[in-house]
Amino acid sequence: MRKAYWIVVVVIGVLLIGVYKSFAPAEYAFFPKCPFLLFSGFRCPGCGSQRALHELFNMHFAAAFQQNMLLVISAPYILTGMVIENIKNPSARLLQIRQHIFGGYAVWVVLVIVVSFWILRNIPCFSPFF
Amino acid sequence: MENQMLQTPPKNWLVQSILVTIFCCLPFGIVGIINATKVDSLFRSGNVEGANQAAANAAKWTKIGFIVGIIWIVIYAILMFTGALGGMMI
Repeated sequence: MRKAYWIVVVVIGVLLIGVYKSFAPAEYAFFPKCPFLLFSGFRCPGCGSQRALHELFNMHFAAAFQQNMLLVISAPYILTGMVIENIKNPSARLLQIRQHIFGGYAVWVVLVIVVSFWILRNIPCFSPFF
Repeated sequence: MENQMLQTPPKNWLVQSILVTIFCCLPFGIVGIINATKVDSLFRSGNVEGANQAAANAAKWTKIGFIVGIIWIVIYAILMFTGALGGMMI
């Protein structure tokens, strides 16, 4: 059961990477538009993440950074978190490291970064940079 | 082992909340992160029940964000399909 789950995850993952690498979301209408932007007119912290993925998978790091810098800077963090969460029987040391990076004050740092990014990219004089 | 269990706060869903924030484009992920901040501070202050409650809330909002995101993608696909049939590209 668990093995089947991982096979499904990997197959969907590879398919999505293929689609996002091959097709530029800015040029094709079938990529879903952000509902928050559509209904409110304001950009959300995730706007540009599909375009950023396309650039990332094609190794255009600067272009990805321009589309959504939050996605680029958080990608290594999220991947590390996913790996650590799926380690079976973690050692006390690993739990301690996890607690430092993904718990306590780290959560506040994440919250402040996400909310500041959200606000700054909606202020006209800052928005070109975020 | 039991001691270690007592010292480890409940899962705060931080990673999943960030993923929902970035990919589901809805503020529910941020509600998840706000609840994640409560999980640890409550646990540190000895309020284990409160920490479990905050963890359950973080899980709830992250899942709501994920499900709403999926529903949006389905609605978008339907609009896209019918719109494309009518010659109306968004």
